[in-house]
Amino acid sequence: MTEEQQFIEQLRSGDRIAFTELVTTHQKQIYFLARDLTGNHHDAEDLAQEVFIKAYRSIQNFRGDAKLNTWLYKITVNMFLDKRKRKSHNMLVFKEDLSQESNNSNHPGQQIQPGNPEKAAEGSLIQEHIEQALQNLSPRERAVFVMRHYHDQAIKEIARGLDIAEGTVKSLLYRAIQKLQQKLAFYRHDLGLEEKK
Amino acid sequence: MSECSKCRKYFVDALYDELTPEQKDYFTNHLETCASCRAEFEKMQSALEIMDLGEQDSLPGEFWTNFQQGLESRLDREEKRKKPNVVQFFSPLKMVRAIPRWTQYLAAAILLVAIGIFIGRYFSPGSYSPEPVAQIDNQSSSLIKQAAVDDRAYRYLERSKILLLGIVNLDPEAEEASAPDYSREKQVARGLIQEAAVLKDDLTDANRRKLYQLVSDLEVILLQIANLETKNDLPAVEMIRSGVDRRGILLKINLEEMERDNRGASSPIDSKKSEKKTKI
Repeated sequence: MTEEQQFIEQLRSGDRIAFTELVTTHQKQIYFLARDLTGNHHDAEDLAQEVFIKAYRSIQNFRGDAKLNTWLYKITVNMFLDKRKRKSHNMLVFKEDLSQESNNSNHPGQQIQPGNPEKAAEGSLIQEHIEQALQNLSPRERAVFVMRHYHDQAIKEIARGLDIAEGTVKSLLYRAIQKLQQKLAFYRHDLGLEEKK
Repeated sequence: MSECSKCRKYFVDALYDELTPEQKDYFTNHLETCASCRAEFEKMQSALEIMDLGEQDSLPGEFWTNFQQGLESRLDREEKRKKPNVVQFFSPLKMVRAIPRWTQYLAAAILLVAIGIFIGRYFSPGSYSPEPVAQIDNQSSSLIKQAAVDDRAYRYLERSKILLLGIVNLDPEAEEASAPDYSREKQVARGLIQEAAVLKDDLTDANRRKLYQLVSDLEVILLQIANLETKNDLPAVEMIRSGVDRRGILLKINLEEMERDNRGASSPIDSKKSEKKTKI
């Protein structure tokens, strides 16, 4: 029995010390994934805690054929998608034309203002623009992009985690990157990225 | 499939360096010859470079401590909630919720009709059914008996109260000068003592335990009154007064009367009062 298997057994037996260890080891990864997914600190903290609670409750269902962190990632993304689905459904009740999955690249509320290039060089402003660009993605596109780009999850792992085909992951990623590129196109000139041409 | 669309299928893998060597050769060769695909790929590459410019702010160690504490308390709450859930699995409320809404409405309607029939049958003046009437007769005769006992008890308390008030309100200095005669009080007290013995036999059920105790306490005081010297027995009167105070006899009598008033029964005092009012 490997060390991880022993650890999983401890978790299965309801050992709270083992659970605290699990949290300490993975809390940063899960919190930052949650923040990349939700785009804000408050929701991220809430989501990350819910992920660990779910993990504690459903450790019996963990078959051990994936790594613990992959399993936690899967829970995080699926919980995020569930929440967005519910939120989107609630919003639809009030505003029928609001659809997260639609291609809303020209949504006026999410239009990025290029602003002053000097200011744009400031990290916080870039971060704000990046967040606005990410908000433009559908929850699934965002989830796939964030997992691949910021959390270095292989396409195969993402596909397994979300229970979708690898081809679907690739097309979601392709669409996501194209949308991001459209939203952040003004930076290419400001940051001299066009010189590559 | 055109060369360009085949090449674009590799974009994502190429961006994340996940192409096989063969795919990579094909992809590189195509980009060298196709300006449109190259431009498109470079745009996507630069988008990813921009996405990497964002700041990942670090969080203080305190945040993680709070995070864990918050998580622990949420887990504790979860576990507390989880325990009753086992019971809830069999809970009637959950079972009712599982029943379809229309069945619930139907059941509610049937219940209402049943209540209506019950009320109509047992409480409407025209209804007749021999068995319940016999039961009601038994019940009402026992109620009448109880009411008679209560009535006697309250009359007894009222008479005792008047006697006690007379003794308690004596002015010692005035009494000393006038050398009062207690023969009337002694006579009343003896009568009340005799009545107490009979009354206590009727106050044996659990609901009247308080009343029984009060009559017993009164008996002691009444005995002291009955044993007073006929004239000018001020030390004994003082003893009776302190006995009444110590045992809170007058207060207890007042409370019993208030309780009876609250129950809606008319005490002898009330009936007297109402009689007086009508006369006025």
